[in-house]
Amino acid sequence: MLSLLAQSITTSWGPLTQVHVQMMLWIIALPLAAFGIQIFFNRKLPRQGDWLPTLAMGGSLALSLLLFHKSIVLGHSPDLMLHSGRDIPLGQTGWSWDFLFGGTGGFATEGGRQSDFVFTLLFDNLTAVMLFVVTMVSFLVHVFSTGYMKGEERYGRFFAYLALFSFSMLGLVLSGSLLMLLVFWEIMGLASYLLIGFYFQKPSAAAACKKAFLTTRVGDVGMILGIMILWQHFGTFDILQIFELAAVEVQNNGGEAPGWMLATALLIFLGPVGKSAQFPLHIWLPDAMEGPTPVSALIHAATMVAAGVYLIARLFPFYLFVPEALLVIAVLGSFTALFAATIGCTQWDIKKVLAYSTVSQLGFMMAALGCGALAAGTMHLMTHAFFKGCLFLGSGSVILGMHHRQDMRDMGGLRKRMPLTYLTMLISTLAISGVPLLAGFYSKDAIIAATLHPEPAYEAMGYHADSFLWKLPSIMLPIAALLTAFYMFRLIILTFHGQPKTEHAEHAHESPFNVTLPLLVLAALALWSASPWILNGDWLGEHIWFNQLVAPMAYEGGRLSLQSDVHHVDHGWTPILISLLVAGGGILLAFMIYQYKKVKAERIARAFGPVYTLVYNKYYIDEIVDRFLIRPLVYHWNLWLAVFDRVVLDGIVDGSARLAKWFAGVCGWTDKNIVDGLANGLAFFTQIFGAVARIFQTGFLTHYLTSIAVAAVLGLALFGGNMQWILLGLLPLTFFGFVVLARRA
Amino acid sequence: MADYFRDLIAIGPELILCGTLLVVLLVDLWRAGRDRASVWWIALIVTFVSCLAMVQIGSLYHQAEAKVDGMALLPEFLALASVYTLVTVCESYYRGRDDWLLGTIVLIGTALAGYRLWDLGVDVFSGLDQETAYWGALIEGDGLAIFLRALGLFTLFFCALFAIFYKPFLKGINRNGVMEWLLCLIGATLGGMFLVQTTNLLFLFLALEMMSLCSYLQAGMLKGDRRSAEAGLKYVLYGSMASAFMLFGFSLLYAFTGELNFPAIREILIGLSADGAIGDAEGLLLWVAILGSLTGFAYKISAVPFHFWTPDVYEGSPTPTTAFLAAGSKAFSFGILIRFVVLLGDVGYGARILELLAWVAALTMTYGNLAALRQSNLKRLFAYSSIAHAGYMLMGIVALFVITKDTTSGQLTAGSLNVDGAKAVLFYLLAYAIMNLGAFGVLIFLANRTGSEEIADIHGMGWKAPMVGGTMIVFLLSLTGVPPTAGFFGKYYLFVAAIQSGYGWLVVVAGLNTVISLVYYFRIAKALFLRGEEEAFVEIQGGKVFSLALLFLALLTIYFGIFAGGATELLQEVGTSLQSR
Amino acid sequence: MIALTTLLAPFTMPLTPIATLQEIPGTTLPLTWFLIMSLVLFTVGVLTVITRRNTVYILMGVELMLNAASLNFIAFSRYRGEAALLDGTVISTFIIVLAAAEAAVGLAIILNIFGLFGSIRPEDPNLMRE
Repeated sequence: MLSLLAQSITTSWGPLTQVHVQMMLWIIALPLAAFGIQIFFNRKLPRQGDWLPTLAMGGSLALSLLLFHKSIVLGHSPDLMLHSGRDIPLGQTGWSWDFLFGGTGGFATEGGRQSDFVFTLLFDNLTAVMLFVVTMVSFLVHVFSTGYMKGEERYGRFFAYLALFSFSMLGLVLSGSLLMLLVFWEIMGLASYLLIGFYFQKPSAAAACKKAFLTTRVGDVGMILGIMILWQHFGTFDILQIFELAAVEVQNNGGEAPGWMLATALLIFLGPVGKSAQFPLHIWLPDAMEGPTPVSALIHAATMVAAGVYLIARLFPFYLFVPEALLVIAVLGSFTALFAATIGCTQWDIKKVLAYSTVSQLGFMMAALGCGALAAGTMHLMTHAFFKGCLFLGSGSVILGMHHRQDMRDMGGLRKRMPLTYLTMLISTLAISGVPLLAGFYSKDAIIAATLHPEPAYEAMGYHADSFLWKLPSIMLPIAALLTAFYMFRLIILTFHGQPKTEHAEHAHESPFNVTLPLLVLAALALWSASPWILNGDWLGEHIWFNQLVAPMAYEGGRLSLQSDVHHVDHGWTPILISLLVAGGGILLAFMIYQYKKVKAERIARAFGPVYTLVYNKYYIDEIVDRFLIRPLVYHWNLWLAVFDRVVLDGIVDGSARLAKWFAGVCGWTDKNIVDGLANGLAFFTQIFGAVARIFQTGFLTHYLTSIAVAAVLGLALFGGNMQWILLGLLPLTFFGFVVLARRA
Repeated sequence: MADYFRDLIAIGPELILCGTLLVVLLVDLWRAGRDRASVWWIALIVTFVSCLAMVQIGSLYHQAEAKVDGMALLPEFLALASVYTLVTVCESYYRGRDDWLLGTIVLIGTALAGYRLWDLGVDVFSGLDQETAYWGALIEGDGLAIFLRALGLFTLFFCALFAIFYKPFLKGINRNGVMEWLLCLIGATLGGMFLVQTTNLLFLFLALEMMSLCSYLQAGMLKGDRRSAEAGLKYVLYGSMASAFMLFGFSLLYAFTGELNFPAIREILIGLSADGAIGDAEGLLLWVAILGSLTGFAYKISAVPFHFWTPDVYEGSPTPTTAFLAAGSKAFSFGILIRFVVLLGDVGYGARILELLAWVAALTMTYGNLAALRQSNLKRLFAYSSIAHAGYMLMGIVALFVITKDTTSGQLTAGSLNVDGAKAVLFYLLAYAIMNLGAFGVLIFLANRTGSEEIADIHGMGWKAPMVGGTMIVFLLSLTGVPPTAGFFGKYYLFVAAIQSGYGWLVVVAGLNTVISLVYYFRIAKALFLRGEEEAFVEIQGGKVFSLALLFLALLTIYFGIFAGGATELLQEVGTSLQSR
Repeated sequence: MIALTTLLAPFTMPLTPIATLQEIPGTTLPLTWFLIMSLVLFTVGVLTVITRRNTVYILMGVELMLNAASLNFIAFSRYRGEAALLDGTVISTFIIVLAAAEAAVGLAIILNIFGLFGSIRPEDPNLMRE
């Protein structure tokens, strides 16, 4: 069936063909099918069916790799963009699911434009990268889970939820219309809820998944509002059409974006604020660690939280029209980065540290996007997925080895006992700290470089990023990077170095093969995924392959064009120096405090005093929210609900009861007199008819055969006459004839 | 030579079905004579050689054209031989039930044929104005043919599926029972598929007879069952008589025009009526000819004076046969009726014939619905229901031409072809096939579980097997014509087409009939979901495949009830292609 | 009475030669005789089917009807000239084959009936009615 749909493409796509569209559809379809089968039949399958979603993800991974390879080979060129829809200035026409949904399914809006509810696919380099990342991490998490979740009660269900999540994320990445994107966004929310609350018997887990859902919901409301405003003005959900129409709007407005566009951009950004855990909607992410570790790795490191970043990246041309929004994004992102990094320095739970680290890194990505560096932000998304995924899975391996203990104060000395885990986590930590030659260095470096010169991408708009606020990211981010290196190495040292502090740490052992293999793969990716062409002597990342791949697009001159090397600014040595300084400083600090115990950690904590307590308690944000927001809300809500219940609902119930009684009376009367009368009449009529029919349908073959002859004769007699009279006249004749025949039989 | 292979490709799906038939036969032969390997070898060689001979002799016959190497089909033969070998070798390890194996072979063959048909259909519907006449104008592979063949394959698939699970086939009968039944089913479908493709009287008759003969056999094939035998007898004698009438009609048509092909007949008739050469005597001859032909078609579709066989045959036959008769046989017969009416409806006595058909339609639907009210046997009820639906579809056939009445002379003339009429009938056929297959599937399920086909015995089954009960509700809703099911849209299109063609009164009659049909359909629904006496029913197990199949059909019903657009566009094309007859 | 009506029907038609057909000079039998012959045969067949109390005879009646049609085909193919010659004869051949097949099927079913009901009268298998 998918091939059918893909066959209805009418034009060819240049270097991309129908085959590729089919591949994209299969990439989405495989996890969905795996989910469908797994959710119903998991108990019947051998090994509870863990192999099924894993294989499905493996298939998706293979296809994504093929597409990714294609996009690398083709570089970034307009030909690569594959879009379905109508009248797109990229000169392509495409297919839509009209065939399936029978008609255009659209209607005209104010401008007389046809609105399209079609489900479209949009594919370009960004999509290729995202597909690669998502499928890779998802597949590895699946493999990891076969070892980590072994023996769990609802083992099969877990894999089904993983498959559901993968399906929704992949669909999100491939969607070309905001409506479709919204749908998948919501499905992702559902999957995340199910996965975080996997251990729903634990009250903390149940609370955590509820919190996650509600918090992201707050962001989603803004996003939905933003999309609705867009629809109201433009009449379409299609992303490329929105870009085109926005450009027209800006032109008509004299080169400035109208106010509502800024509002829309900010509203839509609320969604990523929730999903990608920016301040102040970051509160759900640390609590989401209640879920199983593979879930944390998949959702809260690599993919779902990256969805917000992806959304901004995808809508980047739109945001280029409203640079103020980008400023907001940049500032908020860098603030989040710094904010979370400070908290991460104080936590003792290994997963919480990683959670805050994730929030911080997401802040980095957002800041990068805000500063106009699409390539940097996306590259960091990719590298982060790999090294953070490795870190989470590694922490899972540690937790497994420590027999499900997560407090770092109990660990220590695991270096000798879990060598593979140590090695992979070390690599990933080096990556996240921004040590040269590893992937994280290049992406972080690119981000820091971008923050120093935030203008280039939107100079075309005549906008000069010279307000003081633009300087903020360049101050906050390096500090955050320093803290990142610090607390990450703190984690490594506390966990792996030194002497084991408890018995569990002493008796820890390396995890089985299917747990460590994904770690190795991810570590390798963390090492090399953003590598420049070292063989050309490009040690410092001037010509990273990624930059050839993803580049900002702007809408100018009536069409989308890629702005790759056009505005390449030579940053000089400044960013690199900053990065090196920051990374080195952080690592040094960590080693000094924790490894060599040159300065006692507790003394520092005491020195900071109340500040430390503040930070340690996550700035009391959760408590504030609870006290000032949730409790009053719940109280008032209960109050009003009680009133509503008593007055309105009970009133309705009583009233309807009275109404029903009256109606029943009427019905009874109708029933007795009219309906029964009709029924009796009908019965009488059918009995009459039955008597007549019984004469004809005798069951005797001979009568049947005779009837053919009689009918033929009748037909003959109709020649030349008026039908009705003949029927009328011949009816008694036939009747008579049959009576005769019946008598004879 | 090129023509020969092109023609072979055009009937590809039918050839695949023939192949399936052969494979079923041979597999069964192998299982029967397993101790004698020589039988197997002989059978294989004979099959191979005869297939090869068919191709070679055919190519020799057409040697006037460019020479193409006859060995071009050798890979197919080798494939066939190897598949056969593989199947027989594998199934010698198969210790399961025979009917499952054979049934599965039929299902696979149907799927392959459907795949082949899809390719053909894409060619035809992609709008290329290509020559669709094959085998020297014997076969017309146009849109109508493709659609109905696809419908036929769909019916075949589900009937074979039902037959695998049908209990009377599984118990007490010797091994051969099912195999022969399956062969007859395939044969009947083959006949039907050829029936809808042809515009030649000879081929029509042959195909019709092939379908009928195989149906006669199917009806009487439940060994040891007296009602089945009675059904078979009634069917064969009634059917042969009606076909003989039809053949006589054809012979008179041939006598009148000297041609066997529909288009040629049409030309001559147009020419003759233009010349005014049809006097009284000729007119009578022509009238008798058309009437005779219509007798045969009317019998096949169970229109009213020719419907007497329907209740008995439907009730007595094994239920999968009933499903085939109701869905597949009727679809094929309507297909050829459409061709017949389209080709001859506006020449000569066409208008009067159409008016006659309108009355027949009214009678049929009324009779069917009223008679169904009194039935207590489910299969008989559905037989009458199928008569009623035939009446509705006849209304669509009648609506194929816009009738105008000349007010002064009272003369009727048939105007232009109303494409909506064709679209309506074909869509209704599609919807009808789906919902009927579903309903009969449910019947089989219920009969398997309760051992009875009476309404009184299915009380409360809906609660015990909720999936089956739920899908039955969907099918009943569709049969009645309640939105959002396919049946609703079918009836809607029929009504619209009939009004467009000027048959308002028919629409009123049909509307009344729909109301009447509500009564007995909901009686079934009520019985299913009534909490009857808590007798010692056996716990309802499994039937997973069955439930899945029924669910699929129910979903299709609802799908076509909501997204009727896609299908109707397709059928609109078919109708338009009919216009250029 | 009905039987009489059906019997008399063909003879009410005018015996004029059908204007559109042309008699080929040199042939002795007029065309309409063939037509009447086939009609008579057909009627006899119909009557056989209707009135017989033996299913095998009913089958014979069906055969008669089929052969009447076949006769029609052959006769008119002859009188239509060269072009139509092949069509009519071919279809007659097929009708013969088909009649045989139908008879085989019918007889098999009758045999089955006999085994189960013990009778070959058409009214005896009457389990299903109304």
